[in-house]
Amino acid sequence: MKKIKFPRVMLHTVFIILCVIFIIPMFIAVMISFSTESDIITYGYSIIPRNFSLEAYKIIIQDSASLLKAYGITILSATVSPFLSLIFNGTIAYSISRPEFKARKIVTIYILITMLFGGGLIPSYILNTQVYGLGNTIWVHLILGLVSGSNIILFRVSFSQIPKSLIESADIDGANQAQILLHIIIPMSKPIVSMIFFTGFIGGWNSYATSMYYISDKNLYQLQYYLKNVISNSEFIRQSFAEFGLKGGEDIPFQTLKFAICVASSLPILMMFPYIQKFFSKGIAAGSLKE
Amino acid sequence: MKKVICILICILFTVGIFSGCEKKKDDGSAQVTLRWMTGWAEQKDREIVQEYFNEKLAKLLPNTKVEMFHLDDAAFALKMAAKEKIDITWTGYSHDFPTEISNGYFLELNDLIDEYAPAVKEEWESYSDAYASATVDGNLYALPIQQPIVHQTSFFQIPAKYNEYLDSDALLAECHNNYKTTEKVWQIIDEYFHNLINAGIFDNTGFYTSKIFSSIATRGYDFVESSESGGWLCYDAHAENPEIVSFCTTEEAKTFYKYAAKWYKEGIIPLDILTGSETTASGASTVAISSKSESWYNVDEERGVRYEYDENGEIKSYIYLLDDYDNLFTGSTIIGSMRTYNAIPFTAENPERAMMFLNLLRSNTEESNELVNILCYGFEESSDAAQKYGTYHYTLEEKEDGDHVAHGKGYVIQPDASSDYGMPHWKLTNAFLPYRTPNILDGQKEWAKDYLTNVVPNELYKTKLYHFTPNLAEDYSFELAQLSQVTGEYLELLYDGAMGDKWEDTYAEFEGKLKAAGIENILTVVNEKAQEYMKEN
Amino acid sequence: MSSLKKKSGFLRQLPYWLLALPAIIYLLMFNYAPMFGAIIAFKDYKVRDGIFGSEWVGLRNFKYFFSSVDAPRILRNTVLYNLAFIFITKILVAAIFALMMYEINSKLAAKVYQTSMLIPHFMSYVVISAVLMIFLNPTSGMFNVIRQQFGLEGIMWYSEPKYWPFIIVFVNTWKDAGFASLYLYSSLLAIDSSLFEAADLDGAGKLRKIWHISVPALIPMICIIIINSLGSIMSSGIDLFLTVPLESTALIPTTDVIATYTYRGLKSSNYSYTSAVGLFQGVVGLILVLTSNGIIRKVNPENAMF
Repeated sequence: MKKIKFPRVMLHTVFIILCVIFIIPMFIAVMISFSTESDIITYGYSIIPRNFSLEAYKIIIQDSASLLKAYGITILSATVSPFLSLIFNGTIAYSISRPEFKARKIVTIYILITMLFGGGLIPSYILNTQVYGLGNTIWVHLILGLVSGSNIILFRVSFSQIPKSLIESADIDGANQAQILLHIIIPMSKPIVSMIFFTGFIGGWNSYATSMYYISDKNLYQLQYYLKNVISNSEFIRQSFAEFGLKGGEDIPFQTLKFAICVASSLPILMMFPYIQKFFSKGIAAGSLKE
Repeated sequence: MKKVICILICILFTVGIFSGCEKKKDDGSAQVTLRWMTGWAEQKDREIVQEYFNEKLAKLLPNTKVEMFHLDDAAFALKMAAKEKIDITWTGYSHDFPTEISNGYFLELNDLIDEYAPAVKEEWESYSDAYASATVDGNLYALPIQQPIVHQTSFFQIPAKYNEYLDSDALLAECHNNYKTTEKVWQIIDEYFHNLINAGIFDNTGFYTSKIFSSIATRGYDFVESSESGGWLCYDAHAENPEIVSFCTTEEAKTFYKYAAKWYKEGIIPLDILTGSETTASGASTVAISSKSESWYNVDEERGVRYEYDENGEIKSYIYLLDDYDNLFTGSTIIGSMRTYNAIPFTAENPERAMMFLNLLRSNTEESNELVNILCYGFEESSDAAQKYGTYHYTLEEKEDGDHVAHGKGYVIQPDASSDYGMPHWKLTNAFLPYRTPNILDGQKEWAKDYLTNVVPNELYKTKLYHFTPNLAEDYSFELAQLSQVTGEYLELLYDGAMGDKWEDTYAEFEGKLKAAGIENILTVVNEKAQEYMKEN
Repeated sequence: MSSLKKKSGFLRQLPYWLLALPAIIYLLMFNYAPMFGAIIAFKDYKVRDGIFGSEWVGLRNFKYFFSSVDAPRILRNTVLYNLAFIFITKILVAAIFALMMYEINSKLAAKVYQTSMLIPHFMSYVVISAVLMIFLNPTSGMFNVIRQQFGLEGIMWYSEPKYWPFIIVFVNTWKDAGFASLYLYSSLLAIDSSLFEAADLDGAGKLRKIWHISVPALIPMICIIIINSLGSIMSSGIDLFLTVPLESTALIPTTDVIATYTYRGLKSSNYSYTSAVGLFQGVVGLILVLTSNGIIRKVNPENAMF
């Protein structure tokens, strides 16, 4: 018995050490976010705040109405967008994973080129605003970035790991491709599907570029852009103080604000992860074949 | 049939072209909304201030409304690329103004001013230096906005408690007698540091050498481009036949590198200077700070020393002005050097009305000044705006000498997150405070006004390259970028002294890389331009 | 059976085309259509003249990069760092984490460990650089304090370029290996458990099982990671190389990459230049992808992209 347990204990020990390494910097960041700006300036960053203060967080929630709207928009786009992209990416990935699809090589290259080359910001911006009319609407959050070559490829790899016999038996039963995709492939790819959904959610959560370039309506700002504005306002105020030669500008939270924002943005996602984690347990894939 | 259609189309085209060509004079009768990009930060209460402003504006400039919004600089560049219609925009230090001009973002304003803006024209004549900083080859690209900066003169600032350790008479004498910074100046400062060390009170927290380098070491040199970019191109301001060189390789610079290395070794410069941030330096506590600008808030007559006071009226720091009137000069114009402007983008739908509006703000009448005050400061407590909207941004206190002082609502010296309107919270001052409007915050000192309109253009020494604008960004942006890359990498190491004893090797490497980056070509080009300029003027 | 064969070739292909159509149209509209704008890489793009009206300058925008005094150094840094990020962070360390995680049976422990592994991924580099300073500050940083306890002199971390390749790779691994390991972990989850049962019957030990069952299961995903990442080997984010070293100019020799070089030199948005760099990155990426795909196809045909 001892022989089997020892490696297990080792494994857990190693993991616990790793977890400490992973968590400590975030812990430090949280501690710093609870400091006062003047302490940071005088004493530099330290692990335990000399004066516990919520001043950085107060600035974030100062305009709670706008903050809530930003949360709303972000949650909406961060959930709908990955879901849509699952549809767009999953379908084409399935097609190119099937050997019977004669054009799969060409389509793969078609996708590959979009991964490597692009027109750049300006042509996209001109097209999106002037031709497609997406500027300053909710659609710009939902539609941009929907199809991603790397996600397609991840799906494809995952799909090709599914035993071929399953698909063949469904074929023989007369199922069409869409049904195979929906009822066999996707359920059996739960880990990668949830991984891509999660990544998509994070991407939507952290995104600010679309707000920055396309949105001027305050009600459509994403969370990160809203927070970015909070910081640049703080910076603006500090500079104004400096310009007028007044003292006191330095004490307006700026460094601590950056930390507070980092903490505030990551916590919701970290809280969400355990729900995704459900799909990440052993023994999912096995089973269908035995039937 | 096809032929007929072709001819019809051709006719329509031609008519279209010609009707577009007719420049209609704006007689102010059309209802216009000016889209105004006011900067990069959203202002709280912008909507109500805008609404009130538009009400008042309608009486002075009929059929005109403004719509204010803000954009990041990156977003602004993108909107220009996509040709979105913006009528007026802020530009300045957070945008790369010279490049924006060379990219063609802004309209040339000369004709618009002639036609629609007599007040602007007057301001242009009075504040010629400021306007020169937005003029390239005779074309004006933006209207400068008042900054509380009067003139560039170097100063050396130390806390009051350390003042006895500095031989200030020697320092001032050496500086006033030599328009460039000699080695003796650094010896005096070196002595000051060592006096503090010997007295056991030396504290190098917050001590940074970058401003000391860029403000004091460069004395006597006039720069032809912004010092943050390119190769620090400059020339001896009092030279009869100036030659443009790179400051980084001058004798004055090398002397400073030597002292910086010495101070780094002796622990006078903090060990972590390469990673620190300069915003923490304060005149009352940092052992030495410096800069090159003088604001009109505390200028007085004497050219030796100024004082900074604390809340109790005690002196908290001494500011030694290293240039006296004989040293000062006015020279080449660095585009964008006055830091903030209003410009009219080429995508403007109503440039004529925009110019009329900007002219109105600069008319210096009681009504127009009221408009400016609303934009800059928000609602005054006793104003009808405050009554109407149920909020106000400042109160006005009249001082004994007739000046006004504005107090933000719940005014605290150190506003925190919970104070809505600490003084700069509603402040678009540097978005468009024109030169001729009184600054109600502290009353624009007459001294400063006179200095800008009279002393600077008429009394200060004009260098041989007065108002010379080489505008290298137009054709040599890549070469300048290369130089910028090299100076960015090496210069800080040298003026921070971070290489210690090995600074001479680093310097040799630096010189080599500058040459490899093509500094000699740039110098040749710019000197040719300078020679041509001097022939013509 | 024969009824299947009788279906005409086109009809049999049709479902695949229909499934692929949404993405094909999307890519056409949003990715291919803007590509015309890449032409500004060859022009002196001036906003006022527009994309088509700007002056044609040929390869001048490419020259800025290639003729620069520091080009070899920058290319070397960019390529080496990206290779390290791919092979060390995303493959080696991520695989180790994934394999270790696969051995954990307790669901609670797995949740805790996996969530912890993800935490670094969400910290912005601004925050990471500040925390790193707490350790590396020359005067009060923890590492130097410990060194001084042992009688050693403190190291000027932010002035010595030679330590930074290790520091940067370490920070990148710390930040991303956990996240990357989840992808590999999902490959492990797909392994048929009967394989393990059969191995047990054959008397295979733990290590043999890992080497012969788990590792091969990772190979497809690893190949894809290689191909995917090689495509973007020329691009690198700016934060890790600029913010984390706290913009210390002494560290430039070992931390300067294409993105930071662009940032330091060209302050304003010079669209022609960035477009040229993007084009260059795309071409190099294409070559690398095709080459690596060719190699993988020789070795392990079903794992190649095409």
